[in-house]
Amino acid sequence: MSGRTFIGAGSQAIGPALIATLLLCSPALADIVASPGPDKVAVTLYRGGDGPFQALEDWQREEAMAKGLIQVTETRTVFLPAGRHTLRFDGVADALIPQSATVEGLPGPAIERNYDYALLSPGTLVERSLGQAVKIVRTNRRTGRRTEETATLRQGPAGVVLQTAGGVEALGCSGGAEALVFDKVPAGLSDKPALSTVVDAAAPIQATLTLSYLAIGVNWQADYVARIHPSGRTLDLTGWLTLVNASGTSFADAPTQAVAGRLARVEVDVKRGEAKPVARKCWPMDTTHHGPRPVPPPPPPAPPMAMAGAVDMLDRGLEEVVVTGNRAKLAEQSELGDYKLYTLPEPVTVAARQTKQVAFLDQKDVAFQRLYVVQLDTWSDYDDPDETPAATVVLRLDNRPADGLGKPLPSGALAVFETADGRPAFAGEQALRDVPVGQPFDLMIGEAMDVRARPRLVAEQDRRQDRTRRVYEVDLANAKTVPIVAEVRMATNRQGFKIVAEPTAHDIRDGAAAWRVALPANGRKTLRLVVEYDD
Amino acid sequence: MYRHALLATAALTLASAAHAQTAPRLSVTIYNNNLALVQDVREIPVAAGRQKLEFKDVSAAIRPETVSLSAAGLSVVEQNFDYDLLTPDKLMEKAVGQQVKIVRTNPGDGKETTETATVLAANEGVVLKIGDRVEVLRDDGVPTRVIFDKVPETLRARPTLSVTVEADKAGARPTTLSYLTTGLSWKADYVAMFDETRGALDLQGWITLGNQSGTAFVDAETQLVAGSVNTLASNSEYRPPRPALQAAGTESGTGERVADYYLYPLPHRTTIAANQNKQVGFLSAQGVAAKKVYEIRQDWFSSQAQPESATVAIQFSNAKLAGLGNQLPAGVMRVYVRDKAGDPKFIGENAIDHTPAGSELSIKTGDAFDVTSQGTLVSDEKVSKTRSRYTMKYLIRNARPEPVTVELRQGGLWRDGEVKAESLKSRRIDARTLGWSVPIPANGETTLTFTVETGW
Repeated sequence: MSGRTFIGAGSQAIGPALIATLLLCSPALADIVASPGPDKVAVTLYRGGDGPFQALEDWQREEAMAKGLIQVTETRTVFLPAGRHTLRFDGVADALIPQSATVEGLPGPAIERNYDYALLSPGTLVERSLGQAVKIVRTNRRTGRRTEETATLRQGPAGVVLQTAGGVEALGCSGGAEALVFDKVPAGLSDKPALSTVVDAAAPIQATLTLSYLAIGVNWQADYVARIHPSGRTLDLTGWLTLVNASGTSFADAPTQAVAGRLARVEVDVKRGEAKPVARKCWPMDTTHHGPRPVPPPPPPAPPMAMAGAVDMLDRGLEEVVVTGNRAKLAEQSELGDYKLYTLPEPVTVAARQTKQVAFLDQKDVAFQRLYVVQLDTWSDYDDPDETPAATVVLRLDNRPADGLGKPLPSGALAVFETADGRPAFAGEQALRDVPVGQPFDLMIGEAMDVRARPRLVAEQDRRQDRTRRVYEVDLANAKTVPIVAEVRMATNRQGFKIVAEPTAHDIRDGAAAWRVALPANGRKTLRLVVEYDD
Repeated sequence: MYRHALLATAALTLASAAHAQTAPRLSVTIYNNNLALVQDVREIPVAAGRQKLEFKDVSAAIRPETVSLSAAGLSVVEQNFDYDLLTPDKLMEKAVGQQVKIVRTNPGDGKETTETATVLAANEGVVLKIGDRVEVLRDDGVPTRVIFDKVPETLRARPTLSVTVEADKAGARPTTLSYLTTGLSWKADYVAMFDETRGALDLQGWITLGNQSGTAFVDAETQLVAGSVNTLASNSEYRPPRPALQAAGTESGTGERVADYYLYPLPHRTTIAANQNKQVGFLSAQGVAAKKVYEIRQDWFSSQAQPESATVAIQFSNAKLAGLGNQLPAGVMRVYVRDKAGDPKFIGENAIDHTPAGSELSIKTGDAFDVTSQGTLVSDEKVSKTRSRYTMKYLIRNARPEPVTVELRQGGLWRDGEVKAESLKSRRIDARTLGWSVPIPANGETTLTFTVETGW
């Protein structure tokens, strides 16, 4: 059998003819018309992930950013000569979901749409030039003389092997200065993943296209600041849309909207482009006085810019919060199906690696009730003096116009400030779920210093039918100079749970039975509860 | 004879343009589950008698055991799939005992000297015999090129398929090579534009095929098979649960069928490049009747600490009567609505299974911001050793300016489960589940209470 599978000089001549053939018969390789960038872009941000960003670890934040979604609508003007063309859209978002793309305004039906994510890199350059003629340039380190030789790439990028007129050689194994020189970039390789569509134009046309697609890497949440008035009865609530662009794409001067609500999503595999590493697979290199090739010294530390990884970028982004717009111009809220749509008052630039905040809510004098909540359950005997339940400071609001609110509140984080001696003091923060109009909600902002609760199990009795009766007494003490209301809650999630005796009628709060007890300034009270449950 | 084999190789590698014969007709049939059938028909010149044909441009992810080669007057002697890959170190290994040329560049004057050496060994380092000297390659650190005479026959740039055939007579003949490959798959992507006021859906379907096989399929006649074909490899894979249909259809869909599957031929020959996602439209329908539903599902009798949003689903049928009448291959449906300005806005997506025509589909798009429900377990009593009585209260709120109806589903019924009292008439969905259609006034709330008894 012949061992020479190498195609000699004779068959190299067919190269151009072959390429011409491919160009003629393949729609994907039709004339490429590039649309360098959008004339106009509009974006809509969707919130993804659970909980506010503040509650996440750095690595979780990076993941959370990818969970958000952005819908990008671009207007592009292109000139299409007559015939079949591949129209390539440059400058699209780097983490786009190609399946979601739609193009409107094409002069004819789209034959097909392609998303090429083979990236131009040293490895892919070698891989896609296999079997082709390249030049190898060697530089003599002493004389500086460069010698050029034509060669055929036989193997790569994991160990590059060349066929020259003199024989077969490996690249990068000789210790000399060697370089490969290519004629052209092989087809289908680009610096970024490329979205393109193949279209037929009957006549030359200047077309205005609307390209719309979804991309990941952008997320948003609402951030609220509640300032409690010195009176302690009302607060001012301001809300900010915090837009986080963790992707590498900027959306310049874009009408921007944000959608509040939770969307159903399907996990998506976003191709961010595939490059190929080049590996030297040289023969063993030991000498009589050197062992395995020394591990190369670590590369010099990168400049701070490059060192900031994706995670750091987010932190940096959060530090340099760009506040645009002002309170006078709030983002406008409208309906979008079963979601809430917030439209920013004017186009903004959502730059790559940027956090941007725009106000959407400014409510004065919102009524609230301050409560001190003690959570109990029937599993505990409360006989360990080191384990007393804390009283949590809770602000209870009702999202209705009569209380100064009555606006949809998208999920996010809420920070509370109190006024102490005329100066604001941070009083805690809390995650906020989506709160529709007409719904009461509690903000648990911290633990109370001056309000203490000490529950005691004072009696436990066996009842008929395998039931147990327990009597609890809760001592409540208020060390504050103002009267307060404490709320004692008892978990009811126990088989056969029943309240037998209570000083006042309970109601249900957050799925637990709740009693409210008014405590005078510097006063104390005891609450006695009798409950039963199945063993 | 060898010369002819060489020509055949050249033809297969670089397309037959060089020989002015008919271009290879490549056809690719892609299945949903990471599998494709490739068929390659071309004229191959063969010599009479036994010879080896090499196929280098086959898929890098070929399943070699599935290869079949057929041509008139050609019988297959054996098929080989060689994957001893060419690398510099392999080259050196195979050169042991043979002569190579070494080219040294003198660091002092930059002069090159070429010598012939015999490779004695290539273990940890390369030991050479040059004339009567034995040396280690690059022992002095001087740049030294090694020039090998040729690539050994057994080393290949990439895994290579070769078929040894016996030909009855010499001459070119159309030859069909077919094989299965992994790395190619497809799914459907749908864009559904929902118009709530019209109660209608405009549906567009795209075929999305992906090529991660590492090989480009140039100018291929492409068809897609919708359906789940069994493969041994897929038996051990995790299969995500199939999204359920509300009701499976019984209408025959449109288009070509092969066995139990639907066939979608692409209208044009196309090039499926490596690392490419390709989309081709296959479905477009306007005005499919559709409606929106709110649903709350609770699997057990318990109190909820927080109000829970109702899920929103778009329901429609792909029956002819409803305006569609097409089978829908499995994929992802993305739902859009128009905002105030008339611009389409994404509102959610969900996976659908292979759906025969005439089926009822329910596409969950997300959670309603304004429609919420909060359940409270009011009481939980034992009525006998094996029976319990539960009283539940659901507070369902609607902050929308129009009345809505929420479908509430309460699971948790076990043996002899029965309703003792209810504020609204329920219906039994199945042994474990009760269902209510709860109307909620605009900007209002409805409280649903019920008491059930069930054994356990």
